[in-house]
Amino acid sequence: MSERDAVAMSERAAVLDVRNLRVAFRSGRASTTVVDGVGLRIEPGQCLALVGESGSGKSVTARSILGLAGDGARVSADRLRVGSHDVLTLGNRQLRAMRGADVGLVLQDALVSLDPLRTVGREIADALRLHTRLTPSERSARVLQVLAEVGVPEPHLRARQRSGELSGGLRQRALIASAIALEPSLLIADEPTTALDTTVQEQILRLLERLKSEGTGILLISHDLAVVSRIADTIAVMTDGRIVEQGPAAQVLGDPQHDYTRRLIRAVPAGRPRGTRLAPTPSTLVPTSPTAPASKGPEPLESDAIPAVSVLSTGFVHLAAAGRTVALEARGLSKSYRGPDASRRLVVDDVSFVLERGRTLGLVGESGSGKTTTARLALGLTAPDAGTLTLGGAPWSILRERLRRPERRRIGAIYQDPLGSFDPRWNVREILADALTSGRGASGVGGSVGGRAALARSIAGLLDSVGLASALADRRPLHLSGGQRQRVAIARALAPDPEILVCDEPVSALDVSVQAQVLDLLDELQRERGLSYLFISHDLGVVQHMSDTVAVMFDGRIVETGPSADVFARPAHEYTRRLLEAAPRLR
Amino acid sequence: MSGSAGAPLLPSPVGGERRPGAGGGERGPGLREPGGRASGARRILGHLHSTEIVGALVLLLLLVAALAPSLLTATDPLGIAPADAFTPPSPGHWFGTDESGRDIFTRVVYGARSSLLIGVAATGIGLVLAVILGSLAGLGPRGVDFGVNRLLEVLFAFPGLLLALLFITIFGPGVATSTIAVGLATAPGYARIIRSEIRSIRGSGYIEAATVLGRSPAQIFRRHILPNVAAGLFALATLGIGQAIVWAAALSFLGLGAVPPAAEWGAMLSAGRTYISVAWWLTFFPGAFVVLAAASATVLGRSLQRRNRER
Repeated sequence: MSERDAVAMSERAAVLDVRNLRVAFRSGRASTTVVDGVGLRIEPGQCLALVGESGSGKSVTARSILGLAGDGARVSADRLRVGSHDVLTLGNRQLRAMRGADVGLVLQDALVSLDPLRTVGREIADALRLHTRLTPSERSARVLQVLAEVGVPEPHLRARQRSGELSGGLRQRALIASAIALEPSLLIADEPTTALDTTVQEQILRLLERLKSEGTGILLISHDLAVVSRIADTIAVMTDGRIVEQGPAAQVLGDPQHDYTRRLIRAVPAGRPRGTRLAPTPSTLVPTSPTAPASKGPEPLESDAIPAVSVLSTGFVHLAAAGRTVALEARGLSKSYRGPDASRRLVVDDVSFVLERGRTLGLVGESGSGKTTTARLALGLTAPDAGTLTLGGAPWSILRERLRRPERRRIGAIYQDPLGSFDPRWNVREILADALTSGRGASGVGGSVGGRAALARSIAGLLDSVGLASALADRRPLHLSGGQRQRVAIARALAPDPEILVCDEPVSALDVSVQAQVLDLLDELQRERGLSYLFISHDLGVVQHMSDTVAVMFDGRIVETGPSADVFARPAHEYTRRLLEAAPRLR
Repeated sequence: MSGSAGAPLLPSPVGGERRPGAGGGERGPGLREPGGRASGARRILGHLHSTEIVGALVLLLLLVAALAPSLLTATDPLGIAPADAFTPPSPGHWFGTDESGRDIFTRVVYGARSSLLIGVAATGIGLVLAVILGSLAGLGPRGVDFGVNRLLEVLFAFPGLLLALLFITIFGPGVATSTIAVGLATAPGYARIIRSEIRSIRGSGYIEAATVLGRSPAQIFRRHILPNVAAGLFALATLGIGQAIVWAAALSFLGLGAVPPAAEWGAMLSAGRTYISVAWWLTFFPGAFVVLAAASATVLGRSLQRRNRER
């Protein structure tokens, strides 16, 4: 008896203990195993990070722990304990009692997770009402206390606001507040910072860190190794429903044993010099660079020590040295929009930049800083209120649309959401045929067999240049993966043989390893075709990796600009420094 | 707008989907997966629910009746035989005969033509008008959008049938005017849907992408906006045909469309009403066919809509 008690005691110490968790979904007669033999253990005040890409089964694992795997899911485990609860034996009522009281859940999108019609205070108070016997006045006192704890300024005001009235950061804090209101011993955070700006992400991570130091066990789920490395004690790397590597954070990041872990670490662009491959295999079918050996054992993380620096091809260096011609120049651009209260809001304020031919200008800033409006100005989609844009020295922004239209082929665009940029009725072939024939489509080449064959060849060639098999031409973008979609978008942008590509957050919706492949592809295409990129991103690591020159945007203004290496090494402006400090990097 | 005709005739969509029973129900979703495509024919048939098949068969039958009524019956729809008046349904006269001894089955078959014609033509008129109004509002400058919207709101203030009646009072009764009247009455509803569709498509990423590729507004309208609106519109039109058939029959019933000796369902209903207590079959069969035609069109329209959404 005493022995059993001792075992029970030691096990009670863990806030989460999962052994050999399996989750399978049935569809029809077939059943797919999405989580296969996962084991996790979290003790109080510890943070375990579950890292993996979309579809790896990490969210399903989290849901199973909460008993929320869903209909049709078969969950089995040798052990699935949250604190003292055996989740698998609990009924629905007991599970509901456990959620909130013993486990808090924080999801990625606070805007969706919080009821838009109820105030934030009410949302938190409800959890208290269901799980505690506090009186209404005690409840509201506790609500304010929790909001203050998570660092919401003026909690008594914020508690009376609805989620839609709060900024992204405040909203996420409110969500965390509702999750910790009952002081659960375990907090499950599923991609808690993915939708947030860098500086806000930093604040949320700091908050999670504090909760951890106060004794809460945290299961942090993320696709982003850099975010995780900041607060995780243990890292579990998950792919295809299995945990392929698990260990202390420093060990997993510093001395990764599994191939997949190495690939993930390599794919992180932060601190990787320009022209370095991020993905292990060449992203096109034609090998263009000496590929780094992916299995040469542990890789140091300092950029200068990476053995895998495939040197820039000579053509690129040449272009970079000689390419002093200006592809796109902006002078004193301003643009304002009318707000809902009829006040004018200056979105872009006196922005000037020079994009040299064959090079990349990185535009970095947080949401609302005016990056996308700058992109739209560069693309000639809106007219600036003041200032001018010139394309290759010729007028661009002051042209009338009729005169600008024939020139549009010179400047293409890639968007964050490639799927939305394709006509939903078209398959890949039709999309590319349209782009190749200036909008006339397959019928535009005439009925001649030769014309059709030539078009088919061009389509296959385009697909090949972005590393897609020509068999994909018959698919609709809806049935492609995120990375494939972005490749199709790049192929379409390349079709009219442009000089400049405006890339607006081209990889922020992609998994790290896919992001690495797309960035590699963009890099290669730039070298082969001498393209100039206006590269917009909120992700400092991506911008640093891609850009020759960087412009930091804040509140519609460019607060700092200069060669990428200088800006990142010696930030001159206060805001740039703040951004850099907040940026998560592998450590 | 669809409240009067659509709702009561509509088999609940959930019930319609579950009806096929376990076997059919399992097959449907299985084949819908992208991987599970067999031969072309099986793909199309495998996707169909049994309600859709019934709806399509009924419409096909009505189409045959409308195009070649003599294939289904050899009798003359107007030929009177006073001796056979008020014969109840029998092997000789499947649906019985009316007060002048005319065969009701024959008249129902011949009636399909004018009913379908009015339904299709009225929907067509309504759609053409709606596409023009909706495109003006959706693509035009703010002032035009405002103007068209106010016009639509005024038209919406009148119930559709009232609008149709108003038109007929001005231009006189008859098949042609009642068709136009029904078309006019349905147009505002379609126009609104088209306008909002165009607005949402105009703001979508692929329109911006096309602009960046250097496409002209005319090209964008022709290659992106119109086809994308049309996909939804086709389903809507099929739904609308059912409604238009009911309205056309209603106008004929009121004596404002086709006039009694003509074989038209609404007119037959009206003529049979006098004898409803002694000869139920005079009104039952034309009425049943109005319901059947409208219901099949609605079922098909609904499933087309669902497919559009799923795609």
